[in-house]
Amino acid sequence: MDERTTSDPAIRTEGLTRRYGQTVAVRDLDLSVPRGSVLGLVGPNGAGKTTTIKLLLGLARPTAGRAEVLGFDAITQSLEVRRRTGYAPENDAVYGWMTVRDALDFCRGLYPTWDRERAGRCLDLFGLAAGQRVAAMSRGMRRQLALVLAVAARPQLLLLDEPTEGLDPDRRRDFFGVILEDVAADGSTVLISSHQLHEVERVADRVAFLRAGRLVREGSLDSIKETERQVRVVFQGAPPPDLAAWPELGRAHAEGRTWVLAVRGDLHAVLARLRALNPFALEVVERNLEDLYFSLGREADGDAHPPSAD
Amino acid sequence: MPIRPLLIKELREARWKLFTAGLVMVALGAVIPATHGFVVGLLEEVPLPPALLPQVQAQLRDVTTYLWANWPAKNLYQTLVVAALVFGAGALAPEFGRGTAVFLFSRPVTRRAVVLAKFAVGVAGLALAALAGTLALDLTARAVLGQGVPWTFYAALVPATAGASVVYGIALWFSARGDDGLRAGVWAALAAAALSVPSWVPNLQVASVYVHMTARPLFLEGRFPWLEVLGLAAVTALLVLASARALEGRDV
Repeated sequence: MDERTTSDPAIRTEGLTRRYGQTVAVRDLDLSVPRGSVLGLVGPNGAGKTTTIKLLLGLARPTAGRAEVLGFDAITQSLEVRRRTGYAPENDAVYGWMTVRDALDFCRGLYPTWDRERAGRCLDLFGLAAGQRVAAMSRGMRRQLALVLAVAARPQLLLLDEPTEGLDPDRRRDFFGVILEDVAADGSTVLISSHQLHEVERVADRVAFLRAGRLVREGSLDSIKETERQVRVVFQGAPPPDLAAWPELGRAHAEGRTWVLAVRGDLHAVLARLRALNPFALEVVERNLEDLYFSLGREADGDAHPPSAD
Repeated sequence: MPIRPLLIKELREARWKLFTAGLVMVALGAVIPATHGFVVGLLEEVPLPPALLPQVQAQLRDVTTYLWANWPAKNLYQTLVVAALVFGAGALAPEFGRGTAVFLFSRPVTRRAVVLAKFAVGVAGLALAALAGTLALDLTARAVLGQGVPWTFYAALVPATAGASVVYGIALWFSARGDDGLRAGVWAALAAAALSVPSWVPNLQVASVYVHMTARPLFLEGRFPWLEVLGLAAVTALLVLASARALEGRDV
C-alpha cells in the first residue's frame, strides 16, 4: 500500500471551484474528510454535489483550487485515484448491450483489488442474475448493478451519488444495512450524496451541507447537532427585550406563543437565563438531519435574522 | 494499465458494425469477378466514344487489370472510406450522448488508452473487412474466371488500410469533441470530401490520401509504396494524438 494512503485525509480540497460560464457549480470548497469516515453530502438539487464528486474523480477539471484524494492529486494523478475508488454515478451509465456478467468481467479486469466473493454476495442480495441484459433491466436494477460494481472493487474510497434513487424500500435497507456496513467495516471511506436524509443520518458519521455550490457546514454529525441545538420556550409575557443581544443565540422565531431559539453557544447558560425568567414551558429540541438541513439552508439563503423581541 | 478489458469491450460493442462492414466487402469483392462476363457483353452493345474504346477494351481483355481497376483502384478504397467515417464518428461521441462516458472514464483507464483501444479495434476491423473482401474477390475470380489475383492485390490492402486510418482519425477527432455521432460523421464526411481535392489536380496528387489508397505503384511498377504508407501512418498518429488530447480536455 502506498505510504500516502495511511497518513493523509481521504479527501482534501482547497478553494475548489468549478464554473460553467456564468454559473458557479462549486465555489471555493474547503473540505477535509478523514479516512474511514462515512460522509453524507447533502444539499438541494443544483447544490454542486455531483460536480464535487466529478471533480474528485478527475471527470471534471476545477476552474480554481485543488483536490487531493487518498493522497493523490485529483487531476494529475487521477488514474491512481480511480484505481482506489469505487463510484456509483447519479445516472445509469452501464452499457445497455452488456449483461451483468459482461459488466462484472469488464470491471474485474480493471481493478487489481476486485473481490469476486463480494460481487457474488451483492448480486445474490439484490437478486440480479448474471445473464440479465442491462437494457432490459428496470431503473432500480441498473442502480443495483452500479452499486455492485462500485463496491466489488474493494475501494479505499466509495463515492455514491444518490445511491438509493429508484430502489424499493427493501433494496434500500439491504444496501444501507448490509453492503455499506460491509464496506465501512473494511475501513473504507464513504461519501454519499443523497436526498434520503434519514438514511444518510443512519450511516454517516460526518455530514457536509452544500448550498448553491458553497459549503455551508461540515463536521461530525454529533458536533453539528451539538452546535445547532434549539430551545422552545413559552414566556409568561413578552419575551425579554434584550433577547436579540444574547450572545449564545442564533436565529429566533415565534410559532404562536412559542419561541424557537437556535443555540450557538453554551446551552446550559441559555437554559439558566431562560429559567430565571420563569417561563410557562421550556424544552431542548433534539434535531435530526432533516431539521438541520432546512435550518442551515435557510441561513445560507440569507433568511437568518437575529433574534428579536417583537 | 490493463488494456485487454478495453479491447474486449470495444470488440463486443462494435461486433455488428464490423460484421456488416465485412459482409459488404465480401459481397462487393464477389460481385466484381462474377459480373465480368456481363460487363463485357454490355459494353459490346453500348456504343463508346472512340477515344475511350482502346482503354476499355484493354481493361476488359486483361482480367487482372479489370479486377484491379474495380477493386483496389475503386470499390475497396471507397468502401473503406465510408466504413472509416462510420466507425470513427461512432467511436467517442455516442459515449457522451448516451451517458456511458461516466461509467467508462470513472474506471482506472486513461483517456488515451480508451482512444487507442477504439482506434486499434476500428482499424483492425477495417483491415479484416478489406481482407475478407479481397479473399472473396480472389476466390470468386478463381471460380468464375479461372484465375486468382496476384500478391499485389493483398499488398494493396496495406496502403488502403493506412489511408482508411487517416479518415478514421479525422472522424475520431470530430467524435472526441461532441456528443452526437451523426453530427461528428457529417463534419468528418465534409473534411473527407475536402481531402479529395488534391486527387483532381495532377501536381497535387502526391498529397492525396485517396490516390495513395489505390496503391498505383504496386500495379504500375510492382513496387510497394513504403514511403506513402509511412506518411499516412504519421498523419494517422497525429490525428489519434489530437483526438486523445481533445478528449482529455473534456468534462465527463
